[in-house]
This record gives sequence, structure tokens and C-alpha cells, in this order.
Amino acid sequence: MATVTVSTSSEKEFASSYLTLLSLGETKFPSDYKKDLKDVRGLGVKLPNLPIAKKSDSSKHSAISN
Amino acid sequence: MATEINVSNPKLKRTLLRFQAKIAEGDYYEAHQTLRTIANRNVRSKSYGDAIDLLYHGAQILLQSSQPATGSDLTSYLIDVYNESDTKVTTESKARLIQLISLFDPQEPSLKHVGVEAVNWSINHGECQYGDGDIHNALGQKFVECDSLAYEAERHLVLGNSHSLDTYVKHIWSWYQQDSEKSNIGLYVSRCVLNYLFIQNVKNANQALDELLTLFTTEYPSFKYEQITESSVSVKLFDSLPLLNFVQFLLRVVSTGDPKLFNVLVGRYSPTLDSCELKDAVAYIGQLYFGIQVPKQVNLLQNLMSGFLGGR
Repeated sequence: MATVTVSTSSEKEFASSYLTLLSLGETKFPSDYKKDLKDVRGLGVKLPNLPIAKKSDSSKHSAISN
Repeated sequence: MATEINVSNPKLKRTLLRFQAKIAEGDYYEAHQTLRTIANRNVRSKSYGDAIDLLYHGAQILLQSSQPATGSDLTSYLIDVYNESDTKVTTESKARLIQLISLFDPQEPSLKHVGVEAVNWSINHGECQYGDGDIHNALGQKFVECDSLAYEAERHLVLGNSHSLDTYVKHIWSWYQQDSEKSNIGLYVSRCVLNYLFIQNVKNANQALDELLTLFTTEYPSFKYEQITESSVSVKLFDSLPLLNFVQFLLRVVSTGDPKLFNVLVGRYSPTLDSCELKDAVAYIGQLYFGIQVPKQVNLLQNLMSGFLGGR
């Protein structure tokens, strides 16, 4: 799959330098880290509602359920 | 479809076979009332095992005979008996509830209430403060089929088991596909990622992000991006979707637990987080993974008064 150029150079510059900094750091929570549900002590905060209410449209599931 | 009645007590078996025969004849009301009365008698004599067997099989037969109201009533009663008998969450006890939940029509109005009762029982008689994952999964799988319960479905799936992630991703993706404003993708992806990060499930947050990004880039190639990689860390940097960029960086920085790097990221994307009303959510992540305390709301009047009173 072809990847294409990004918009603002400043965003790209930020991304490059930020990723460099990230790669230098230690790993405290590996990408497969998962706290056992038995040890979860908080559920976070309520997120704002999504822009639309969900409607019945089973055909839309087909893209990934097939 | 005839329900297999698998009980060892021959008297109970006869009762249930009579019940099943009445249901087959369409005599739902009398069958339901009779079974309830017998179960009541068992509860009063503290024969909880028999009451549980009766109610479980009775509810199953009614739900399979398209009698949702009475089936739901017996399911609720079963949960009451679980509570009264101090039945613990075990593979067997929760399997009964999961089986009954699976038989409900997703549109049945009492299902939401039964779900609350089932989760509360699992909170009070199990090991998880927010309820058993398998019960949450059963409810989430059912609720996704009912659009008016879309947010409830989400809550159950996030707290569910290993089968829930796939359904949650599909749920969010199908929701996004109904949104005509395709640039809203960041709102949908960040929702999945944040909900998992809130309960410190970094694994599912990463997996949800990967799956949704793959779906998005495949289905909507007009949104341009550039793959940026430094050492082993990589992101897809999108042209005009700052929230989607932020959420990728967020997952990378969470792995480090470095508060300075986190603050740099939040500072950079502050306008986006403001406009998407995600500042509180991100502040919560800051506290959870980076130990950054959220400043308490300042009560100006209280401060002023305490100044007048000599700082007390």
C-alpha cells in the first residue's frame, strides 16, 4: 500500500523528534500490558457522546464481519 | 425446540416435565405461576439448589418459547435466589446466567434490568469490583444488537473477556460508518483507545488502534498519511486528522510512563483535545500512567473568605 506525503512539515518534524525521544526511553508498560480485571480500581471518566446516535444498519457490518 | 432437562432430583425433573408440557400446550400463565410457587416453597425451606435448578430450566424453557416477560421474571428470581443463598461467582453459577442472557431477544425491554442485576450479583459475590468479565461479555454481545443500548454495550464490552474486543471494534467501526463526516474518525478511535487505557488494558488499546487504523486506511484511502518510524517506534501521520495522530502518540508515550514526554504531547495537541472535549480524559490518563496529579477545582469564594479570615 502506498503511503503519501504529510501536510505540514512542522507536524512531521514534531513526529520525528518525538518518536526519537520515545525510542530512547525505557518501557514501563509494554504494548501487551493488561491489568487483571480483579485489580481494576477505576473506570476513568465519562467520554463525550459520539457525533451521531447509532442506528440499525446491519449491512454496514459486512465490511468486517464477512 | 425442547430444552434438555438435566437435573438429578427425580421430583424436580417431573415438575419440570409437567411445566414443559403445559408450555407446549400454550398454557404459559399457569405454568409460570405454578413454577414460581414451587420455587418459592424451595426458597422458604432454604432448598436453594432445587430452587435454582427449577428457575434456571423454567426460564430457559420460557425464553425458548418466545415468552420473554415470564422468562425474564424467572431469570430475575434466579438472581434473587443467588443473592439470598450467597451463591458465589463460579463457572457453573455464571454459566447459567450467561446461557439465559443469550436466549433473550436483544429488544426485550427488561433485558437491561436483568443485566444490572446480574452484574451487581457478580460484584457482590465475585472477585471483580466492576463485575465479572464473562457476564459483561454476554451482555455486551447482546446489547450491540440493540441500537438504543449502544453506549451500554460499549461499557460491557470494555469490561468483558477475550471475546469482547473483536465485537467492540466492529461496534465502533459500524457506528463510524454511519457517520457522514468521515473526518470524525479520531473521535471513534480515541474512544476505544481511551476506554481501554482507563482500565489499564494497554494490550487491547493497541489492538483496537491497529485494527481500526487498518480498516480506515483500507476503506478510505483518500485520507493521506505518512508512515514515520524512528528506531522501533512508528506512527501513521495523517494530513488533517490531528486526533488520530495524537492517539497513536499517546499509546507510544504510555509505554514509557515518562511524565515529561506526556506533557509535551498534551501541550502540542491541546487545541484538539479542547475542541473534542477530551481534556479530562487525558488528564485521567496522566494521573494513571504518569502520576501527574490533576489540580483540584479552586473555589474562588472559599479562597477569598479564607484570605479574610487570616488564611484559615
